[in-house]
Amino acid sequence: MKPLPLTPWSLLGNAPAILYLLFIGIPFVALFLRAIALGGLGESLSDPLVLRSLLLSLVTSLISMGIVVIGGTPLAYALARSRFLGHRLVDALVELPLVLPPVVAGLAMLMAFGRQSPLGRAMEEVGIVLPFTTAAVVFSQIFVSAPFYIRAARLGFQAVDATYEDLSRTLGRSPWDTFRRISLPLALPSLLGGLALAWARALSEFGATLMFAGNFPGVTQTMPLAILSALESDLSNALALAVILTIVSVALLGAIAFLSARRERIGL
Amino acid sequence: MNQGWIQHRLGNLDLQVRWEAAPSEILVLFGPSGAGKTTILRAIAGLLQPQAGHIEVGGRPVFDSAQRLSLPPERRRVGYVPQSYALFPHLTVRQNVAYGLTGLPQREVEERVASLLTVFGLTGLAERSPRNLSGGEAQRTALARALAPQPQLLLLDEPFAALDAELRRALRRELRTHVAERQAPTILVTHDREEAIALGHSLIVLDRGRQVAEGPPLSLLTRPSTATVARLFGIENVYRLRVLARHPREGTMEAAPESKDLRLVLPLGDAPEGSWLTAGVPATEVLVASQEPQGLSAQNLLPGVTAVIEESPPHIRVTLDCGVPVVALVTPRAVERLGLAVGQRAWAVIKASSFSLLAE
Repeated sequence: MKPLPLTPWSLLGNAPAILYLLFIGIPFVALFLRAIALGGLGESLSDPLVLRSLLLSLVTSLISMGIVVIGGTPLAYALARSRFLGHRLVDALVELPLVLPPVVAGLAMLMAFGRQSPLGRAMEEVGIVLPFTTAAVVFSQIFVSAPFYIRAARLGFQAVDATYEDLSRTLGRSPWDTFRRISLPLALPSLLGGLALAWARALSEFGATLMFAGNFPGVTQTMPLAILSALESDLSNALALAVILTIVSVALLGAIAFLSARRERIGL
Repeated sequence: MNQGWIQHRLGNLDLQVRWEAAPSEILVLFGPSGAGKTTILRAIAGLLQPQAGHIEVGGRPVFDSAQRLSLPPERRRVGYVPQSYALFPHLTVRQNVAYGLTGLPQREVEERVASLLTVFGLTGLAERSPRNLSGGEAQRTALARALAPQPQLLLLDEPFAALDAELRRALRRELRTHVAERQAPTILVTHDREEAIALGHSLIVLDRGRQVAEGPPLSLLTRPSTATVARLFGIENVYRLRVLARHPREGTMEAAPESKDLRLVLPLGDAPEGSWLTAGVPATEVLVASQEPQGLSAQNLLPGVTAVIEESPPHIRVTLDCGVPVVALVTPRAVERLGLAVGQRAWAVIKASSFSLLAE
């Protein structure tokens, strides 16, 4: 690609873009500068409260992603390949959480699984209580992040030429073998890209978690919630958490970039 | 035996066809695009459920609408090569060829793949990605992959469509050999008449879902039973000729029909002197003259007598008797201008390059 010539006119023409980049970049720089200036990043990292929220975030998001992949992959494949009754309804339902404010999602889950609801009461009778537990954190994360994965996976499966699958069948491979050896590897870059997006979304989950799971250290206090709590007492802890969360998110974005580059190289 | 019949309605297409493919023979489904050829292959492979029919592969029923029988594609033992070849892009040539070899010990898989790679001249390309193959290499890989599990029936959908003319001829010969060696009955789909004639042991001519003719290709060509068949083939003049002389520098050869005092100049082929070949020329490529033409570049100037003049809208079909019958398609105005009439002398003019060599 040709580098843009830097003339006064081109600078003027690109002014909105440059302003936008500054708008995005400056807060990052400010966050990191302030965290370094305050120091104590190492100290914060050994703070049990910080450690616990970091661990909780990682463990819950890992469980969420496991469930999203196991449940979302077959659904994405079905949506990509078959036209069943109510196909459009399922499609719309899958993408609903994308447009729903997370706080509303959290409230909705509370209404569904809370003690006031018939479902919640029935579950309580067999000894299952969801609201304000670690399980509720996982529920919240799945609710808001799954659409990112399912959407990307569906597009990925749709992009796999069905002729490959047909051919695999004529070569004596069962539908499951065909899925495992042809559809899955060919759609894998899209699946991983979707997974990275979903994971970033799950790690940053705040609104639904707060409504449905609450903010209890060690039980439901994930990193974003811990940042809120820390801000009330200790700015350096809040900044340390913010920096860690940023680094993890950027690493995931990097993974997406790497995967799409690889995908281009394969020529899919 | 591989045989069957299907009926299938799909959009504008109302497909009704019945076929029979003998062992170590190539059955060609010939017809223009939209005739339903690919639909038939997909139905046989189990990738499409025809509305009615009965399909046998290697003597075993794999589909029967009356008995509600329909084996899934993986249990039909059919090798399928689609028009796009559909080589798996994430696997190497070797992995592509080995893909259908399931339930065999690793050593046997390796041996079989190695022997297929050798037979198809792919040994040096084994670790390549299909993206880095030429058209001919991709075609051979697809064929090797389809043949690896030793299918009872091979289905080829326009296997040479993506290749240039020279390569097409070479690979055609190769395909015939493979089919003969493996005794793998084959159903091949094509809209290319030269390919249909060069490869087919028997031929089914399809037009808009209907079977308009069937039989050995040369007899279909020399005696096209219907006008549709002649139109679909577009080769109205077919001759059995003996090669008299080859002129490699000119790119031509001379050949003559048996016991006729007539010499035709043809494009140079592989047939040696003294051997027999079949050559054809479409009626649209034949010029008619009412007086002996002078100073022509065309090398075939055949004197004769006008034998038949018949309507073939929008053209007029003129048959000259030049020792052999020569059919020409001309415009009504030309007939008027030349004053063509039955019994009159006339000359047929044909360029050597207008002939296609149908079977050598």
